[in-house]
Amino acid sequence: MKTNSGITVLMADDDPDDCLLTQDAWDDCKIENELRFVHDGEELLAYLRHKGKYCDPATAPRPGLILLDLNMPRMDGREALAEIKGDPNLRQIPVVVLTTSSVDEDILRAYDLGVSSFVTKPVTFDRLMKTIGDLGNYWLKLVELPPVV
Amino acid sequence: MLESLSAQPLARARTAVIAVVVAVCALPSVLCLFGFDFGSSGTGLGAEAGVQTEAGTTEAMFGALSGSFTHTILEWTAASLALFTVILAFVHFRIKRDAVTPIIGVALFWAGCTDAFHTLAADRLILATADNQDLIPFTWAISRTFNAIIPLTALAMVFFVRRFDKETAARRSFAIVLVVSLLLGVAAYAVIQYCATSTQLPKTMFPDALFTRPWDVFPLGIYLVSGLVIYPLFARGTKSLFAFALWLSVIPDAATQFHMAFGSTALFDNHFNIAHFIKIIAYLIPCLGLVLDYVRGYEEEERAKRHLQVAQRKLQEQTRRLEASNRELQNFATVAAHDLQEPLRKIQAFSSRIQQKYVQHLPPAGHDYFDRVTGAAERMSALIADLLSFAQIQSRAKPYQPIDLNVVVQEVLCDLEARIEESGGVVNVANLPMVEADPSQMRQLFQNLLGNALKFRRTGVQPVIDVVATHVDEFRALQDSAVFGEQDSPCCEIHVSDNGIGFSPDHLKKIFALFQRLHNRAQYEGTGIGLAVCRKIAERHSGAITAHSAPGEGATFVVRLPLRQKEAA
Repeated sequence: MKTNSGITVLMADDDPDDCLLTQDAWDDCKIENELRFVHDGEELLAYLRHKGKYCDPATAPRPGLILLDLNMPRMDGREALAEIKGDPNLRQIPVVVLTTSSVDEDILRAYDLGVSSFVTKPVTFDRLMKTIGDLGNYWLKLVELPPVV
Repeated sequence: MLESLSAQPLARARTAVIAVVVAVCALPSVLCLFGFDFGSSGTGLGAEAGVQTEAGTTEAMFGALSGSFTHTILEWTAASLALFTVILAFVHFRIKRDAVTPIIGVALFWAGCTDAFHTLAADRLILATADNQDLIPFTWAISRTFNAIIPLTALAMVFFVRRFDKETAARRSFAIVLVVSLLLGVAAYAVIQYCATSTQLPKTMFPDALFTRPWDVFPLGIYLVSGLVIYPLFARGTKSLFAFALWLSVIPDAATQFHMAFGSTALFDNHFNIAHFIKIIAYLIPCLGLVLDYVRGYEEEERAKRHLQVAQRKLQEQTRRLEASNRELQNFATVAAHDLQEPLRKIQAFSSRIQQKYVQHLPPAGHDYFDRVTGAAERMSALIADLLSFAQIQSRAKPYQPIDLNVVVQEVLCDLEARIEESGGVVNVANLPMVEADPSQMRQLFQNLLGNALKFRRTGVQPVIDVVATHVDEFRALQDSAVFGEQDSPCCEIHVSDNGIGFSPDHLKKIFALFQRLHNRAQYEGTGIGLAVCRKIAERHSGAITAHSAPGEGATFVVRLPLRQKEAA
């Protein structure tokens, strides 16, 4: 019996359009898990470490999966990724990079820092829906995620 | 510009130099007015000198020979200067390949040789038969005459040499110098031979006459004519300081002759010695002229080198700036294309959302509008993708390598197979050469050219495309195309001809420009990037592209590519 249905997915992306489209795709794919959004690296780390407005773990549940954009203001995805993977409390959380970049250097660097997957944002909505559906099937149905303690 | 700027000070400097020379020549005479006597007062060897001891005899001999010694020293200095002059003249010839300088240098040298002979004969160091009282003034007069005439002879030869065009003169200059030297040498030797062997020489000194040494009047006349007429003619045509110096040397030469012809009444007297001293000046001036010619030549070279360095630095700076701005433009294109894609992606995504979710709420006109939005967005997407690929011709260039264009074209034809079949076209490919190029770019080049040839076909006419190559020995700029880099390596020229719709020659420039199209979208698809890419690829390979055509008569595109690339990409 999978327990993944209760877990939260956290998406870090500064682009509200992309957030909206992802949410749309998420809903259209009928994924029941909660999708939450933060808009830059600093906010992401604040969320994960329960700092500032995320100080209450009840309203900011620890995510079981992170969808991370690389190009963000303040602290970008690369720095945030390095922070997460360098933090013994956070590094178990699988991180999927979801970005417009498809530059070799970015891909290599991301895997070097320990991402679980690197996905380039699809251009059309149909493809986005397919991608989100695949991600949902894989991460939320197929694999066992680390238990939330 | 430089000439006219330096003309004024140069004229002033010349006047100053002339003044100095005149002053130096006049100085001994002026000093004479104040009672100086430059004569050598030999004591004689008579019994009244009271010669008793052997040492005393020697002393007395030195006293008696003092005039001869002075004469020898003065003459020898002059002859040595003649030697330096000829050496410098030949060095000058070695550097500049100009026969004029050595011819005149040799003339001066042979004149110096007759002077040396005159001295040696006077000192009885070479065998001469005539009496010294006659020999010295006669050989002097002869050597002076020779000295006056021989540069003129040389000048005549110079005028003869100058009749040749520059190339012939340069080629023959060494032979000319050799022949002239020999001729002048023979003349000098003949004079010496005559003087040395004659027992009876004509009387040359008339102490009581107005012309004390009339034989010296003749060279004086020649000097005056040379100085007033001939040398100015010679010096006018040239910037050479040597020519000016030669002209200038006439002043001391003439002064020397004045002292001799009108002053000197006896061997080694006041005017005799002054004349000999001034003669040294006459030899010194051409020598200095040559030296100054070197200095000036060296300075000019240095100046030219400095100019060149400055120009080179400017060029480097300009190249650096150009490269920087080029890079910036390249970055701009890449970044712009990248950033433009982002909002476009949203337009496409949300349009498709609307069409998926709210299609039933849209009236038919709304559908049409939406289709147009989607179509426009797709075109923009294609344009941006093309712009990126255009920018990447430079930024994503791969190194050159030898490639067989036959293979490239075959690969392209494979890719185009479907379109060729669909159009029923025929593509004839002749044997193509090997070139050093970027393989993927060559492929793109032929893809675009052959693709165009298929695309712009005439309706109802079976497309026939010919690809041929010709060898070009020398790279020439193709009509209406820029050439990048200097090309002297062999090139090939590839002609891609079709029997399609063609285009008006007026549009030649337009078709190679970015996003320029001659037809509307409904007629022929495409963004108008294809030929711009071809041009950029050709130019990146230091090649060129052009085309000729007329409407309805097909088109021929000509790409010229160097067979070998000068440097790595």
